[in-house]
Amino acid sequence: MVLSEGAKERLGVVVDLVQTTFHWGFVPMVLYLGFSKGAEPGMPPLSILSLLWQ
Amino acid sequence: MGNVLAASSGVEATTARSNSVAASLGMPEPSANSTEATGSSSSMSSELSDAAKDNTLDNPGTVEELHKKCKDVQAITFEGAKIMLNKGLSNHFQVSHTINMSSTVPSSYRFGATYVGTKQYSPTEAFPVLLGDIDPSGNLNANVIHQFSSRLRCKFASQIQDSKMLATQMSTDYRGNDFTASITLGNPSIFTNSGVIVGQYLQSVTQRIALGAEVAYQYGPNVPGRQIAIVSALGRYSTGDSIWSGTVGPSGLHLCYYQKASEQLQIGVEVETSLRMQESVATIAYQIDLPKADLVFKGSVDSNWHISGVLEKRLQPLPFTFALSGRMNHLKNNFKLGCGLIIG
Repeated sequence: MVLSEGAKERLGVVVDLVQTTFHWGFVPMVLYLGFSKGAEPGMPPLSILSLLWQ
Repeated sequence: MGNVLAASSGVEATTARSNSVAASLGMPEPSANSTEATGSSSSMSSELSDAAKDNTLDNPGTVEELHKKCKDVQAITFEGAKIMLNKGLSNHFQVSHTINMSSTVPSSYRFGATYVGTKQYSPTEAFPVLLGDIDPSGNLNANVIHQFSSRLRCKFASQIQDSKMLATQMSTDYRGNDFTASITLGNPSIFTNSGVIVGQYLQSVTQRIALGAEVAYQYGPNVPGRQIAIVSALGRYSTGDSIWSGTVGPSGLHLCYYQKASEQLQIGVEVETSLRMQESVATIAYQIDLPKADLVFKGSVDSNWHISGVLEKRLQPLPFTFALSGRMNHLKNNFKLGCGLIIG
């Protein structure tokens, strides 16, 4: 693929941004999905502290 | 694939971990012989299904899992002290805390999180599966596995170290009735114009024999001649309790033999020859399961005289698993001892 220098630079910024978002956003996203699913029926609700202990 | 994807071996390791986490969440890995598991209760229908089996071939599983049975028997050793806390917050959500202490590498802490979705194609598996683990300096391993249909499964694995993408791997498996085709894209970069593409195909030829091929294509400025392609042939012969599997290519030969000797004992033998390195390594490994004692022992010895053993004992009724690992080499005069406690 042939890209001009300018296009490469701009694409690099976008790729860096996506990578940084992924880097620091992935684990929080997994936690968010887990928390939004909630606890099993009949179990006490989840809180941030339940990451450490019951 | 071993040579070209050497850089992404870490990703493979994390994928292996992802499978084990999936198993601990009560979701066994995709079994190639899942059709066999759906056995029928009456003898009449089992005869019918036997007759049907004679004509139809099962899915052979993926090429990645070709040597899996033999590899699983081998002991994976670790060094130093390890404490791991697994917490299942719900059926879909699990977190883990791991502390590693060792005299050779700096001590480390890792936090892991696993989310399992609700889309089910079989009663034992659910998708999507998202796995992430991260340490305080921001080194991240991320895995995403999703099954789009009963035949199509996609995986994405990535490893970030020092804020750089160390390895990325995207793969897609298509499972037909009697074949599996996979394509994997490793470390693609449009800036350096480099990457690895691996295509794999495995076909059941008879009930016992599966044959396949693998094409690995690597391109980039660091590759001699800017691009290189390696074709390998692979095959597997399985009877009842034993499996022969092999890979032959211009880079070398890899042969595995697995035997289930009894309910307690499994044996695996592996020979790996690399023509590039001009060396061969043979490994004999065994695994002993003693379910009554809640104990699993894996031991192996290889032709470089590495002797390793890993003992895992569940301390019932407590939710603890105790692991002891040892690896020694008399010729090189070194010894590594590991001791671990897994809670939950």
